[in-house]
Order: sequence, then C-alpha cells, then structure tokens
Amino acid sequence: MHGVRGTEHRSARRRPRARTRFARVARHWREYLCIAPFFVLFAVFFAYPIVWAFVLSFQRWDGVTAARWVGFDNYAFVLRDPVTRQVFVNTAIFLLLLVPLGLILPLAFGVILNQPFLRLRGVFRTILFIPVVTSTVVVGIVFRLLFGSANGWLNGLVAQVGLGPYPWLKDASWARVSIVALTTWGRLGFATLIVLGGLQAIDQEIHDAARVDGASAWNVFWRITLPLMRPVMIFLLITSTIGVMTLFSQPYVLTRGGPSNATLTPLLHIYTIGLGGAGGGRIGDASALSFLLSAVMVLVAFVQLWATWGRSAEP
Amino acid sequence: MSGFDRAFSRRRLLGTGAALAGGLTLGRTARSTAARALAAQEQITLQVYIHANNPLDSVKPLYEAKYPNVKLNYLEQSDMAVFRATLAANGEGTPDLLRPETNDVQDLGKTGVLLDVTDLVEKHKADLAPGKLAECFIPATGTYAGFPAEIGAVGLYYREDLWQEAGVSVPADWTWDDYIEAAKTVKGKTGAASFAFPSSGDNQTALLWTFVMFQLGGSITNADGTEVTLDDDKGIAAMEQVKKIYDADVSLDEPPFEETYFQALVAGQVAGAPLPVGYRGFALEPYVKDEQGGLGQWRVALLPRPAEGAVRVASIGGAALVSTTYTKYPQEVKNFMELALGTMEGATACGEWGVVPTFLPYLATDSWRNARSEPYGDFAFNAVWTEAVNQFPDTWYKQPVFAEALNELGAQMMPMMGGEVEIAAGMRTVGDRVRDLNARYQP
Amino acid sequence: MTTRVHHGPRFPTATATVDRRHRWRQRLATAVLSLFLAAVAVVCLVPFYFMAVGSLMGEGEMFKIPPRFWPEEVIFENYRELFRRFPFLTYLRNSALVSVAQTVGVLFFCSLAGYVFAKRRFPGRNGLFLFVLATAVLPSGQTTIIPFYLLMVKFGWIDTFWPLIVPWWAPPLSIFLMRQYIAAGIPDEVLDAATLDGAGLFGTYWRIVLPLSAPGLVVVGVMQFIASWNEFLHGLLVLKSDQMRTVTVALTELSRRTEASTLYGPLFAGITLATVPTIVLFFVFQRRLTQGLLAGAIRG
Repeated sequence: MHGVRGTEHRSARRRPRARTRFARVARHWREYLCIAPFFVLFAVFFAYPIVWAFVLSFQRWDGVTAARWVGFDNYAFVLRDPVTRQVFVNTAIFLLLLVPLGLILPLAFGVILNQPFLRLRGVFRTILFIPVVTSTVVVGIVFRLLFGSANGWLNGLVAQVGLGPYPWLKDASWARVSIVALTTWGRLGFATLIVLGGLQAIDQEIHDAARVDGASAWNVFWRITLPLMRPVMIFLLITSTIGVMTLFSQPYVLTRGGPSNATLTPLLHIYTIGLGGAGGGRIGDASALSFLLSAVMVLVAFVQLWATWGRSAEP
Repeated sequence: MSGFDRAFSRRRLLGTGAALAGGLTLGRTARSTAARALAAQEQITLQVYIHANNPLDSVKPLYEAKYPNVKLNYLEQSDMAVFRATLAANGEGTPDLLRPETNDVQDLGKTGVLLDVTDLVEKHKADLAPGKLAECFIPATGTYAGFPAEIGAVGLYYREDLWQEAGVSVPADWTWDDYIEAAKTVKGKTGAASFAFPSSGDNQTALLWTFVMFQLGGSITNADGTEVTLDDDKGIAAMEQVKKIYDADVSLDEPPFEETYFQALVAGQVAGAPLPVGYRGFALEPYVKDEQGGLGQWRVALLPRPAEGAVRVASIGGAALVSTTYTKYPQEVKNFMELALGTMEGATACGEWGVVPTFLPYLATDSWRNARSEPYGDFAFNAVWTEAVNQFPDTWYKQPVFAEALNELGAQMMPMMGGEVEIAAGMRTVGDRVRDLNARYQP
Repeated sequence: MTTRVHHGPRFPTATATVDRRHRWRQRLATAVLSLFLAAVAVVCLVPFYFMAVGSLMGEGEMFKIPPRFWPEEVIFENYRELFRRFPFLTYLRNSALVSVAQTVGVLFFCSLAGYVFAKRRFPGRNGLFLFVLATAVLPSGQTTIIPFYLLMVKFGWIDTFWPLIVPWWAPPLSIFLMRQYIAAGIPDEVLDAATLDGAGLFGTYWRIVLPLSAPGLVVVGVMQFIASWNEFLHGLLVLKSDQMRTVTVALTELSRRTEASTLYGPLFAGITLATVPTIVLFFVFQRRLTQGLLAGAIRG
C-alpha cells in the first residue's frame, strides 16, 4: 500500500501535535487562504467605504470644501424631514405590493409549470426568464415610453379594447403600480425557477402516500407541499424584502421619484441628495439616511428570520 | 506533495504576491512618468465636459484654427454628479471646461473651486447683457466664477393659423388673464392647447410658476442665499396666477422638452406655449414639416404680463462656461471662453446654432435680426428675442438650494392646483421646507 | 413508474367513469392554463417587441399620435446612425471584457470559498460563513458611492475597468450558492478518497470539486455575467472617456438627454443590440442553467 498520507499524518511527522489555539488555526492556513479573498475584498472595497460613509454622516460636506463636524445634526434633519417619511411610506407600500406578489406569483407559476400535462412548459419557463437577464435601466427606457404619455403605446394598446388612456406615470397610485409591474416583470422568472426547483425536490412518495390515504389535491398542497417549501419561501421572502428596500433602477428610469415623490425610494433619494440629482452636495445627509436605511433593513431581516426560521425544517 | 500543492505552497504564494505588488507599483510609476513627458510637449489638450448637440460644437473648429497647439477633447459627459465626484477627489479627472447651469455656478462658485474669471469678464463687461452677468457673479467672494453663455429667455410661441381660426390676435400689451381668455377661445374653436403644464409633480411642474415669479421680480432666495423668499407676496401671487391657468383647462399635460410634446405639436394639438429660446425653439425645424404641424405659421411674441409693471420676459436655465482651480491651462481656458462668448465670431456661431448669446453687439447685427427658419415662415423672430434681452432683469438669484426648491415646489403644486390646499398655506409649507433645506447649505 | 423528479400532484384514477371525467377536467385545465400562460408570455415579451420595432422606425414615428405599432417603413437607418455617431462596437467590447473578467474571478474565488465552507472543517468556519451571509444585507452601492469613488481615485483606477471587476470578485450570495451546490452535490466519499490519495486542498479543489460542481458553476457564472453586463451605476461614475464606456453606461448617458432629440431611434437600436447578448447567452446555457436552478440549491 502507498503510505497513507493524510494531513494529520504529515504534520505529525513534521512537528508535534498542535496543542495551542494558534497552532490549530495555523494548521488550516490553506482554508483561510481560500476565504481570504472575500474578506480582503470586503474590507477594502466595502467595509472601509462604509466606515468612511459613517464618518461622513456626522459631517457636513459638499464634496468640494473641507468637511465640517456637525455631530448628530444630519440625523436630526433626516429624521424630521418629511421626505424621509414619504420615502419610508413608499417603501412600506411597495413592500405590501411586491412581497406578496413575489411569493404568490412564483408559487402559482411554479405549481402551474410543474403540471406534467401541460405542453411546452420549457418554452414558457424560458420566456418567463428572459426579462430577468436584461438590464433594468436599459429596458426601462423602453418601458418609460410604453407607459409614458397619454399617447403612449400602452394607452394605444388598451385603447384597442376600448379602455381609456390611463396616467400610468402621471398619477401617484398608477405610477406605483407601474413600478410594481416593471419590477415584477424583471424578477418573476428567477423566483419561479427557484420555486420549481423546490417543488421538484419534494419526494414524490410523500405525495403518493397522501393520495392513497385519500387526501384531495388541494389538501396535499396545503398540508404537505407548502410546509416542505418553507425554506424556499423564506429565501424568497428575504430576498424580495431586500429587493424592495433597495429599489433604485426602476424608479430611476421610469419616474425619477415619481409624481410628487410618490415613487421616491430611499436609495433613489440618497443618490439624488448625495450625488447631485438636484443640486446635491448634501453628502452628510445622504450618508445619514443610508445608515438609517440599513438599520431598518437589518431590523426587518432579523424580524423575518426570527419569525420564520424557528418553525422551518432544518435540512 | 502533489504538483498543485507544491505550486500553492506558502513560499510560492508569497513570492507571487510580492511580484504582483511590485508589478502594480511599477505600472503606476510608469504611467505618471509618461504623463509628465506628455505635458512637456507643446501640444495641449483641454478636456471639456459637454453633451452632444450644443452651441459649442460650432466653436470648436474656430478655436482649434486660431490656437493650433491646443486641441479640444469634447467628452460626452453631462452629469453634474460625475463632475462633483472629480472635485471630491481633489481634482483628479476634473475637466478643464464645462458648461453647467447657473445655479451650479453659484453653488460651486461659493466654494472657491471655480476658476476666477473676473479679469476676463471685466474686459468685456460693456458687451455683455447685465441680466446674465448677475448669474455668474458670486456675492460672497465678489468675483465672477464663470463666463455667461447664453440667455435663457422665455417667450410666447404661438401659431398664427390656429389663432386666426379662433379669431384671436396678439395685442400690443396684455396680461396673463387676457391670454387665458384667448386660450379658452382657441381651445373651443380648434381644440389645441396653449400651455405645456405637466402634472408630474417635479421641477417641470414648477416651470410656469418660475416664469411668473421671474416676471414679478421675485426670486427663490435673496442674492446671497441666506434667506428664502419664494413664499413672499410675489410668490403667492405667482402661484395664484398659475392656478388660474390650471383651472382654465387649456394646457397639454406634457413636459415641453420631451418627444411626446413635439409629437402633440406636430399633430396640431398645440396652439402656443411659453417656451425658452434656443435650440428648443429651433428644434421645431425637424418636426414641423407640414400644415398640420403649422409650417410657416409659427410666431414668437413677448410674454403677457402677470401684473402692471412686470417685465414681459422670463428666464429658464441658461448656462455659463466655467473652469476650475485645478486646471493646468487657465490661459487657454480663458481664450476659449473669450472666443466662444466674447467675440463676434463666437457669438455668431452660437447664435446661428440657435441660442441667444450674451454678446450684445451680435444682437445688433443684421445676420441676427434677419434670421429665418421654415416653421416661422417669413417672421423675424429674433427681433422679439432682442427686445426680450433688453428687458431681462438681474433679480433672479440661483443659490445652491435652487434646484431642490424647484423640486419641492413641483411636488407640492398639484394639491394646490387641485384646490385641496389653499395657496397661501401651501406656499408657506413649501417656504418653510425650503428654509429647512437651505439651512443645510449655509456654511 | 419511478421518475426521480416529482411533478406535482396527479389526479387519482380510481374507476373508469371517474377516469373519463377527470381526463375531461384535465383537458379543460390544460386549455385554461395554457391560455393563461400564453397571455403571460405575451406580456413578458411585449417590451422586446417594442424595443425591436422602435429601432426600425423612422424619425419620431415612435411618438406619433395615434401610436403606431408597426413601422410604416422598416428602416435600418437607426442602426447605421448608431454606429456612425458612437463607437458602439467599442462599448460592446468593453462590456464583454468587464463581464468576462468579473465572471471568471467570481467563479474561481467563490467556488474555492464555497468548497472550503462546505466540506472543510476549520476553526470559526460557521461563524465566518454567517458573517459572509450577513454582509449581503449591508448597504453598498449608492450609500458608499462617494467613498468608493474616492478610493478608486487613490488606487488610480479611474477610467479603467478595475473598479468594475475587482471589488465584485466575491459576492456573498455567490459564495452561498456555491457552498450549497457543493455541500449537496459532492459526496464526501469522493473527497475522502482524494485525500487518501494524497491530494491537498488545492489539488482536490482543482481536480474534483471544480468538475463536479459544474452545474453550480454554470448557474453562478451565467447569473454573474448577466449581472455584470447590466451594471451601470459604478460604471457611470468611474468610466470617463467614451472609449472606456460599457454599453449600459453609454446608453444611460444617451437616454438622459432631454433635448428634443432625433436620438430615440439610435437609442432603441442600441438598447436592442445591448440586450441581445444576454438573451443569447441565456439561450445557450439555458438547459444547464435551469437544471442547476432546479437542482434545488435553495433548501435552507
């Protein structure tokens, strides 16, 4: 037999068995090297700028003159600013619209596309997925013209069935619907595929057993399939929530914040006041708002995980 | 040890890492040496931030012909955010020239980062329109931070044929209320709109208010930006005037600079609107090609007055040429400014492109006065613009909070238009809000 | 029938009459659902239709009142104009360069990290992995854009492609996905056998993990390529000269100009051309991609 040469054996020949914590860590230098790129990149390109941005949130800086320390002034302003309130109200509205859609629609489509008696399922799956691979901003320009004006294409289309022109982007509620439409259009395919993956991973025998016991299709779905899909649904819940709270491209290209700030999302607002969409130069305020946003995001993520994780089936 | 594991041994890795680091450093020093060598040569290249399709396109060949050792590199870049980012980076990548709106000139001028062109402006002061000069003057420092480019005058565009059909004509002097009455008649007889009033709730919505406010002599802030004045009596009066326009229901709900507006125009849905001069006016040429679009029927007139004693012109935008203190070639930059905006050739090039240059002597020339354009038939529109320039006051101050103030106004306007919010109260809300914002910009 | 994959609940088949009724019901359901799916498919594809049609329309035809859904005369002038006015091929080349460089890096670094998190034990492994996941919720992008830009200036990376490539070589979600694929897809026995044969970490990685995690690699790779191709925010800030611009940045710049422009035709042509590569890529890898996604990597 060739000498059995495991790592332990090798190190045992080279030096005494690691006893100290440091030696134990040092023994795994290769593993640490493998994950080092992430930590290095994160530290340099994300952690450092975040710390920098955090410092900026306590300063007043227009990007040109020297920065000035103002303590919590920026936070105070952001908290009393009515636009901040508007921005979080918008986010709440989008959450109420997009998260259920982001859970129910993929589930529905996943189940439908999982039915074996449907033809061309692969084709539909593909078509559903195509919007996912395109650039939101670039295609969004087309959307803006589609939804654009009273004489736009969309209104032209609905006119064919006799429906009046709608203010897709001009009215607050309609504009929000348009944003929801664009966002869902671009994300549905991906979520559906993930749901499909989860559905197909369920062991058929469980279903067959239930059927033999006389359960109806509906019951099977509710009592067996859905609970087994819990991890997938949790994943979708968390990613769609994060997606809504970081909504930027869609309002940026469709409405620039929408009629009277109705579709202004936190990130779009941060971008505008920080980088100069409207004069700009309120970098301190932008930083403060962004940290407030991340605080909210972390909180929401915690709540969601706490509420759902405990009861899920651990793999 | 396997071949791969040997390849990834600790020593090898450290060695490769060192080599990489060394290579990167070498690369960077090599680059800076090359840059130094380039600057030592005669040939100079000025980086210009500009967006395609603007008056300076015609000036470029003139300049390069006059100063053969200088090349102009027109970079397709119209985003102020990018420019500000370069400033934040201590001038790394800052262009030598750019053409921002005058509220940015005021904003940045205060910080001292813009190149001081007072000497240049003083030299040509007599030839430049006073109303425009004020936009480039920074009260805080007492200097000129930019060279005034074009005058963003606003006039009334209208279609002779549609007005004739409605039995309406332009009197020698009239008020906005008169115009609204005429507009109602026009709409009744021809169905066409007489304003472009988008309900998008942003700065486009606020446009009409800015026109009226300007005419009344009001302004969003005072001259040095320490006080917000948009909700004073003039501001309220201006908003009330705009409400009358809204109530008359004679407007097209499109922003006046978008394709959708021009298509409505081409379809005969626009009988007139207060609009700025400049390429936006001349932009009629690609669109108006037939009778339905009003070929040959377009006219320009001075704006109606909001009240007695108010001027009959308004302002929109209007850019200036600026440079920064980071530029390595201030003299070449100033030469460009001078040529483009302070000489007859430059002014002619800009004027023919379609804007109203600030250079007054050009406005007196025949070529300016006699300019014609097909959509206008034989109408001498520039005579109107010259008159507009003469009336252009210097009380419209664009301090840093300007852009945000317009957005706030726009956002709050639709409730006021709809009657849900009373105008005086609404303006006060906006005023307080803008005061809050303005405080963020005070040193 | 012992299919390994589960395809939704089937209608039970008890007696012959019930059978007939159920088959009829099934056909009704098929018809209704197919119609529904067809409608959805149309909705999904409508924007692409207008994108293509708009690029073939003459000047201003897109905005005519009443709106036209088909060009009066199909013209290719917009495409010619696009290439005449802008170095569009350069834009495409830049996008391709950046996307490939970023994707290759991601595949390497994330599969390596994923492997180590999935199959190797070392002190602090779980905690570090949780940390990686946690960073997914952190603010990036707009929040840190100014410090990010200043950092790029310090590195001398302005107007180069590096800012679009290097910082994104280890996205936490990709590490998570690779870890899941490797944990679920590579049996421990194979790895143990390799160790017994004397392969170290990197040897095992190179010769066993990489080949076996191919489906995961395809998924992560394709998604990353597409994400990179569609990225525009950082590019907008960092890429200054026209020659360096990527396709999405150039198109965003173009669309921003609100002058009454005759540029909408070329813009639509550009948008169509920019969207084609990602769609083609998707079609090429579609089977592998859906296989990979359907392998149910998201399981908790």
